[in-house]
Amino acid sequence: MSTTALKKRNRFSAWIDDFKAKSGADKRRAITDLLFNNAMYIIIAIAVIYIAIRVPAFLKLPSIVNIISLTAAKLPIALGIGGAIVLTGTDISAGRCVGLTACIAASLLQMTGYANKIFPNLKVMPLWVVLLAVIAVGAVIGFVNGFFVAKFKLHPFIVTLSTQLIVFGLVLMYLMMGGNNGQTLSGLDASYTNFVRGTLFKIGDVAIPKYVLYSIILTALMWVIWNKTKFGKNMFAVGSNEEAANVSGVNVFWTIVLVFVLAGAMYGITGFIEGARIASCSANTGLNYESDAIAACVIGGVSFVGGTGKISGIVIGVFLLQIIFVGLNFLSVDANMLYVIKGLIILVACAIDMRKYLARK
Amino acid sequence: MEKKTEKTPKTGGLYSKINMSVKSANVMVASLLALLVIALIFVVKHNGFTVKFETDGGSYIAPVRAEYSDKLSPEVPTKEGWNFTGWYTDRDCTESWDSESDTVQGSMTLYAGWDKVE
Repeated sequence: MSTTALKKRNRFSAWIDDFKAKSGADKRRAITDLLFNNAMYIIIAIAVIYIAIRVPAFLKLPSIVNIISLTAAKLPIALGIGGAIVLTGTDISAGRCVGLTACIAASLLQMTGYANKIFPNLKVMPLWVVLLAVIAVGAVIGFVNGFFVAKFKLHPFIVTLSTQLIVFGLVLMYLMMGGNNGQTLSGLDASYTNFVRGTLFKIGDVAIPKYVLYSIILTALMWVIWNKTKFGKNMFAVGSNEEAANVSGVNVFWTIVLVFVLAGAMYGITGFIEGARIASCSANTGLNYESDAIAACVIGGVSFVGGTGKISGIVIGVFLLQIIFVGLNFLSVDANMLYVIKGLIILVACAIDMRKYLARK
Repeated sequence: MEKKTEKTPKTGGLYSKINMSVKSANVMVASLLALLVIALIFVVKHNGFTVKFETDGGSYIAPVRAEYSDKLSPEVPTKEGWNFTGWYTDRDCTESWDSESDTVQGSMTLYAGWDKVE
């Protein structure tokens, strides 16, 4: 920990020394760069201060715990998409994939005796079986994405657009099965809801849900995969320059496929958590989750230039987005209007990302 | 890390084909930022949640505007042959809305619960 702090301080003082040595015009350019590159953080900081002054409850403990819980819930999907962005791609099937896996998890874990069950004669399944099942479903969808991207060199946008539609069709068909007839899945078994939403520990009166812990574990796991494994290094190599990676002996095909499979597994886990967290799953579950995740990754510095990105950046990106959304909710901004803001945030974040690339070039 | 990037120059990924000066990129980013700020100011000025009331064949209750953490005291609807049992947040009338303690968290619809008169 202390070494990172030291490194950070060194970087900061290096920037200051560098800045002092510059001439007038270069100094001005360095300041413009600094302002533009951090414009999103500056806007979010101003917004947070404004909201905290207008509604003091925003920075009280219950609200902060709420923001942290929401961050934890949205983090796994962003960690999955992050890999696809490192490869200069994206994955827009993520949200629907979360919806499908959430519906599967919920349908397998409904209370015995609940009316309109999809599988009326099914006893409550063991949690780990369902968890493995939804991870497998996610991984299969991820494999399809990765296979078509890697084998046929199709742009991930097109491939995942088609899987998005296919998965949505599957969700609708799945919800029509058994006695359910397309209705919202609810009446979940207590073992499932306790496993996900149960109290981890309490700060004062405010309970921290268990899924925060799972999110932390997944983040640590992804950090190890990205930074300490051969696969992680290959992923960054393929992202920054596919041909060069190929020449230096990286198996580009399997690296791309595995990035998408890993992302799919993450969506499966997100679906498992989301099913119990919102406790009523329908075809709408997971709608547009990928847009939040992509925005979070780009804000957190995972660049579409490829081969650039950090797990810590993704965590910060998700957290900052949730701060803004919760804050705007405190200001009574309607959910309809939030979509416009989300869209603009993605646009601005990508423009800043592009500007960073141009300035470096 | 530095060495590695030297060895394998980045291809630019999604931006590899962009041919734009930093100056015009600055103008673009600045105008998008201005747009975002204007949009934020607009949505904050036009805030307010809409609460709708679904009476399932009972008397019409007009939707109301509410702000975050407001309490609601909606009118009591009437329906011939039925007794009103209260407002619920779901169509199946399982989660009841307590006008004393529950507060508005976002736009929503409240559903009237009815009991048939014996």
